[in-house]
Amino acid sequence: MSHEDHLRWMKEALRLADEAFKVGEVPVGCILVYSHNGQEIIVGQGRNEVTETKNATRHAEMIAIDQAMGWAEKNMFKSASVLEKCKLYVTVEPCIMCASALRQARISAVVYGCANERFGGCGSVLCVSSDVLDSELAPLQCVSGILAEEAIALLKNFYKCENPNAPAEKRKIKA
Amino acid sequence: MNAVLHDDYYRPVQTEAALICNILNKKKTSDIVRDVRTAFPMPHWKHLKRIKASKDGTLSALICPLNDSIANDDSFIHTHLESLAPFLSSPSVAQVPKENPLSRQQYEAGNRMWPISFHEDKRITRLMSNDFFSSEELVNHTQNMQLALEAGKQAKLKGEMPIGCVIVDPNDPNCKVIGHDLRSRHPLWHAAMVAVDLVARQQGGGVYQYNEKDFFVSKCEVLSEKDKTGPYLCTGYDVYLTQEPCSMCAMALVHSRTNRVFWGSPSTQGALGSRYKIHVERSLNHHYEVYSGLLAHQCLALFDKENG
Repeated sequence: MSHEDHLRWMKEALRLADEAFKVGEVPVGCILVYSHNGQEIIVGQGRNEVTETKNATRHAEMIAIDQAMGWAEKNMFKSASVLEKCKLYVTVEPCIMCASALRQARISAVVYGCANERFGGCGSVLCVSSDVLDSELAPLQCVSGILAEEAIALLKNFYKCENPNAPAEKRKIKA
Repeated sequence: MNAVLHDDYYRPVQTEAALICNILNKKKTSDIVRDVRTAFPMPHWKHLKRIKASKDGTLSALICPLNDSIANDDSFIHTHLESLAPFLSSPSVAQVPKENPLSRQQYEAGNRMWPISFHEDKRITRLMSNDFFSSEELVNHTQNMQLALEAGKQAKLKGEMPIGCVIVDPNDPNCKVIGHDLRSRHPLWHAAMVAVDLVARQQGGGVYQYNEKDFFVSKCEVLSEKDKTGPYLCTGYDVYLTQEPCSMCAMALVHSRTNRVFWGSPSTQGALGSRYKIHVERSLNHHYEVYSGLLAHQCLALFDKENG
């Protein structure tokens, strides 16, 4: 796939990250693109929903996978056969949980923006994306650095807003 | 049951070569220690003591790490310790423990090679000696794992992976969820993921769609949004899993701010001891304690074909 394609889809993911930012969730966004008969269809998209669901596992990637499964069901496809032809575009390197989830859901590849030094599961902290596991799980192909600066800028803005040293009237209410 | 700690605590003692001299006049020992310290400071070897007393009464002084320039210099001791040199034997080489000991086992093994100091972490010693729960606590942990086992049996009857999970607030034992694996319906609905969502449901959130009858969710008092002391995710909660969780589930429990995880049988892909030790990854922002092997045989037996 060309760099132009990567940019096009990553801009969509960034738009979702920005949406998360606006509702006070960690600004990470992603889309799942399904290749079907030479066409590319968005079958899932997500942003962080931890606060509103009270479930700390509701990262953008997990939501996108659920949506893709719903899309498959609606269109009478087997979800496994859709997921294995999906690429994920996500603004930040998936965390260890999501990298493991993407691999176990048999997503074929992940394209991400910036690295996730504290939680990353595609090489930053652990390499669950490609470590040899005892089952027949294929490695998750990874491409990094697509629109990384834009993703970092959103995160910086978010954490700046939550700075506990900020004056009270400027502080964001943390749920 | 075993506590699962960072690999650093179990690592065999690594050694390095050092230059030592026997002390020929014991009355000069304190002078020798003082001068050797000044002439050869050892910022990387703070755990090593300078003097070793052998059983036969010989005292030896640790001079410095061995390196090529020292090894080939016969007048080395005279050059650096002028006036005290006559009270020292010609130098020899000894193997000394390279690292500061983290566990009592490492201390004892290292100390046999060369005297070392040890700032014991009593908690770690207790955890490594398997002497960490009172009999009352053990009964409680066993009962909770039995509930997880029951859930695992239910899963098996439904043709799911026979893995159960219980999450409980140790300060409020009535606040509890019981769930099991559902990965035949969804590839990511492993037992721990299901239980984490049950806790979210208990707190007024949650997203998974399933038959209500499948699981148990206690009615905990959900405090108002304004009350900061209300439950937040799985903060302070204990998790009982019949099988060691995979990397996805182990990390989900990190994100959920879990307090402790008890697992029964190991998994080759397990992320809390077998394949990874996610709970002690230093870069992560939250760490929980892990105990393995609780009711291990029963948990493993869930996978027996004839048993069920």
